[in-house]
Amino acid sequence: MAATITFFPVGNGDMTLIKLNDKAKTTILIDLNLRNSSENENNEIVDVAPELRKRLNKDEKGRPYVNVFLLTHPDADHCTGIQKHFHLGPMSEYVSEPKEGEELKIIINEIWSSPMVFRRASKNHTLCDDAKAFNKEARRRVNYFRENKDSIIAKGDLIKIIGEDEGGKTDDIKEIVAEIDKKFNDINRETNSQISMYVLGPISKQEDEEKEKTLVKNHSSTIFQFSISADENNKDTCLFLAGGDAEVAIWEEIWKTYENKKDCLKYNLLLVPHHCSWHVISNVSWSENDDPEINKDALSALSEAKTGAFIVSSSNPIKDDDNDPPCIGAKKEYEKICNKKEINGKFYCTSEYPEEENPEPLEFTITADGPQAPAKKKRSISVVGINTSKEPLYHG
Amino acid sequence: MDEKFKCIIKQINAHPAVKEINQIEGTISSWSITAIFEVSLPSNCRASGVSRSGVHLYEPVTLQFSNNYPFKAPLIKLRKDFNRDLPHLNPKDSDEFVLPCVYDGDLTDLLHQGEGLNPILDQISEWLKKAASNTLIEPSQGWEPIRRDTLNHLIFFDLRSFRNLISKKVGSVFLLCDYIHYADFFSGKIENYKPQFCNIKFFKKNLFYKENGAQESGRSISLFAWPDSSKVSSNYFPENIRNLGELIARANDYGCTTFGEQLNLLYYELRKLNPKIEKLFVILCARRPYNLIGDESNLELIPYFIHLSTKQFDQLNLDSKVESVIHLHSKSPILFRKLSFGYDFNVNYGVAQIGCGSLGSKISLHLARAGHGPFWLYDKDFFLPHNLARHSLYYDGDWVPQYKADCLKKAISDLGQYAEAFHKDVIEHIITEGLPKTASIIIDSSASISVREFLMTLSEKKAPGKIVHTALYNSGKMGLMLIEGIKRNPRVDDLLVAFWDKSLEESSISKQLTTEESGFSRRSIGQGCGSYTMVMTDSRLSIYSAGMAERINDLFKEGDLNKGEICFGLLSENNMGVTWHREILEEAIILKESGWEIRILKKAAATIHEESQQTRKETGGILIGHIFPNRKCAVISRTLPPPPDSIFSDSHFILGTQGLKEQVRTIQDKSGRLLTYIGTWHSHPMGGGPSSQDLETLEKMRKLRLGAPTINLIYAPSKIFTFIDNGDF
Repeated sequence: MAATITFFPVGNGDMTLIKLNDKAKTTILIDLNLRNSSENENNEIVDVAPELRKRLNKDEKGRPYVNVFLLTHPDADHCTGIQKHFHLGPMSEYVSEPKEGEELKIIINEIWSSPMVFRRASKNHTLCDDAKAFNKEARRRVNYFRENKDSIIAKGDLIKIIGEDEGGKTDDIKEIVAEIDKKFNDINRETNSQISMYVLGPISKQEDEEKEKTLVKNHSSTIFQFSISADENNKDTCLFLAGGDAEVAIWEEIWKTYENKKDCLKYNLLLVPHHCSWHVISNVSWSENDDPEINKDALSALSEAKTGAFIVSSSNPIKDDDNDPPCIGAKKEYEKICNKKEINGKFYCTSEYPEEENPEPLEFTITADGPQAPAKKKRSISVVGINTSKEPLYHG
Repeated sequence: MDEKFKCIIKQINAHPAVKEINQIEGTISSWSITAIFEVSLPSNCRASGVSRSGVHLYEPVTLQFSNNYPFKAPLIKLRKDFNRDLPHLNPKDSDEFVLPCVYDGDLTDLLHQGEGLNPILDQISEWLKKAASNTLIEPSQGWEPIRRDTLNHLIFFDLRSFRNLISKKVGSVFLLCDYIHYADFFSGKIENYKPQFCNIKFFKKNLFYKENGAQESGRSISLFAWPDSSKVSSNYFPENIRNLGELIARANDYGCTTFGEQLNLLYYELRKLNPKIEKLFVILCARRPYNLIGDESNLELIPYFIHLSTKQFDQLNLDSKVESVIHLHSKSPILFRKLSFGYDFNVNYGVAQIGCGSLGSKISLHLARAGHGPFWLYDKDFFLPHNLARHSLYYDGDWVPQYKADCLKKAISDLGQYAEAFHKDVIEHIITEGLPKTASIIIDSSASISVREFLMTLSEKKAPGKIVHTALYNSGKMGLMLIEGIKRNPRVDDLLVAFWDKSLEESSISKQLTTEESGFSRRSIGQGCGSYTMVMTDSRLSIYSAGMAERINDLFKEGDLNKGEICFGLLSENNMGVTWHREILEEAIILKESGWEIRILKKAAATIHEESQQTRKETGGILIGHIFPNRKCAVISRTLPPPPDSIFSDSHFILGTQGLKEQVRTIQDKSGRLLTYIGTWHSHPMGGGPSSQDLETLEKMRKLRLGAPTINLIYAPSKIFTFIDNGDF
């Protein structure tokens, strides 16, 4: 099967699955927003868990797993459902016979997570339960590594730290730190020929307190430029830029750093930051200003589109209103990038694909000529049937 | 325009991939609608609007509908300059439209999924998307061979045999090929894979042709050419070869560089022939970069048919007509195994079939169709008209009698499987000739107790295969299949007695064993001539034979022929099916004493052991089982505990009588008198064989048993002793 990148319709939230065209069909899940449709009164949440599960591989014992789970930052809309759907804790505690009505939990072979991002998020707001549980698991894995440095660490205990922690706290475990402004290509401790990751963020701890405060407020996130191959003969045919919820000050800073190394910002596929929030490209509010000014540097950082690039907003449907996120103003800016003649790209919103009434996962295929969007297809009558039965229809 | 076509246009217009309909043409018998499809292009090609494989952002697709729609899918046509080097294209002449193969199945079936025309439009959209990124072939699934399934002409040959001819160096061989030509239809068959000489002397001796009205048939020569091992063809070429010149060029494309000269050679020899042979098959080989879909090889064999006119020309006429041919696998056990199991497990399981009547013929043909064999078929009877009521074979009513075994042999041979038939009395035959050494299983469907009993007397050496006993009871109310274990243990008699023993707990079995109506009766098959047979329909018989063959198929597929098992099936209340039960029977303990063979089934042995362990005193009980007096064999299936008035002491055990009579009667009643009291057992905790007291008791029992043999066992710590009274046998 070809390599794919799938964006799941999870409303204002992120959940993206990269599946490589290597022998192992390696999977990298970026963020998670598996909400309970039963808990939602309007029943408007698409139940994406089965869609995720059917794309995952199973190990020799039939247990679903992801090779990597990358948490860009610990907000609820990026980690909801981790306790319900994923196994946290040592593998010896894995429940191989789940209770009736429950499914086997998904094993995370390796966690990718940034302690700096966690520190900043904790300063900004109280972490949700799922974030706390994730943090506990990440700490367990780090400690496990500290204690078992010289032995082979099994899948299920692996962790990679994205960016150094403050105060030299990760100096003793440099082996598992992926440094900022550098590329790495090992997954589950093995070099992978089908992908490499350039780490653009989080931005390291700032000496200047004010500057550090700004980063805290700007939803510090991991920022990656993934370089994904179609197959052994067609390498690096898809550059995929994904930066969590990072907002304007961060992108401004990124532009300053990479203005002269623009290759690091290029993309064939962009997941727009923070669910198409205006605050990603502007320092002022969308709703409170008639003509809010755009931060040109921040927008520049997100404008290095390659020809034919696809730009995806993982958000609620984008309406022409004061709402933010998603913000119509931001969408228009991204569309401007797509509409450049030399680009001729396309903008997608996960909640509007293929149509707002019934969104489904948006799966790009990585071909020798870059990512390719799904073929247009007619919705099945059965899908329409479910849709029709969603709300009462009054008859006179 | 009628409503049907208005509706078609509406559906096409509503499809999300369709930008617009730009042309509608109609005749009385068909309508063509050309719709512009928006293709999802890979990102790098979006700006230019055309993919590297030549697919445009907007592609016209013509759907040609016949009046039979929706019972015939539309023909899908792409523009005639569409890239023909892509896979998944149907073969047709190059100046016509390009025909994509958008669905791996019958397109018409897609119309009836409850979604109208949409599934076909979806397939077109998906096909165009994959064509745009040149991903119509998924390497992990394998190389898609050039599509040829819409052609008229056929050639049958075995792929594996052909591939075995291929060497690492470029080369070619000549093979004999039978052909038939009728109107527009050609069919050829290659069965002999021995390379032949290309000279007039050989041709004169072996090639021929005859005309019979419009039909021409004969034996011709075919040329098979392959490339050097270094030449890999990773490109698709359009299947548009029309003449010899193009074919030679294509052969060179594939690296079959000796093809041209060898064809010339062939031509000059063929010219010397009189009458002329002008029809030839040619097979080219292309080495693909990876294995073909569902195949274990990367060697694609591409057949063509040539009309070679040798009359008018002095040399090879490059304009000679060439047509593409569909390859079909010759019938073979391998092909059948692949179709039956999805793959070939590469093992030939030989089958000896004793009894080629209704049940035997059906089981054997099921197994032959699943690719098993060779077969050895035993039946001394003729196939008579009344046999047609229940049999897998047909019989043309010819008054010249034929043996059933011969009829079945012919049917199995027609399936491409080796078979031998024997029509001597099977017992006599086996006594003199033995059973085939390479038979993996020996199926007894003779419905003859004497055959069953005879087979029990054969040693493991004389019956090296696994014996499988099959039987139907009471007009097909119950079916039984007993499969022996390795080294004939458990043997059929063990399995049979264990099955009878089940009737004591399961009333459904008991009912069948005790019924007054056996289902057998004498049926007239001619005046003053009758057959003692079971009244039953052919269809009911098939329900059982299918289940039995399924189990044997599974055994072969699993490859584990070690365990013994009991399979019994009971007809459902509505007569429409059978519920089969299957259980493994463990090995029996075998004791030999005074010419007798005592076989203790595991359940009985376990009870004896447990009860002996529970006390330090002597204990014992009743042996329940069946005696086969003719061959001095007893099978013990269970024991009854000592009656409550029994006495246990350090030196002796006295078997009581309280309630015993009733218990034994119940056992006899439930099992249809197949199981009964056949003797006693008792323990000697301190060891040692029968005491004088034991022998006295045996004498006493002899009188009570009125001449029936008596089996007694002594369970001592180191050994089980037997002492037997033959009774009147």
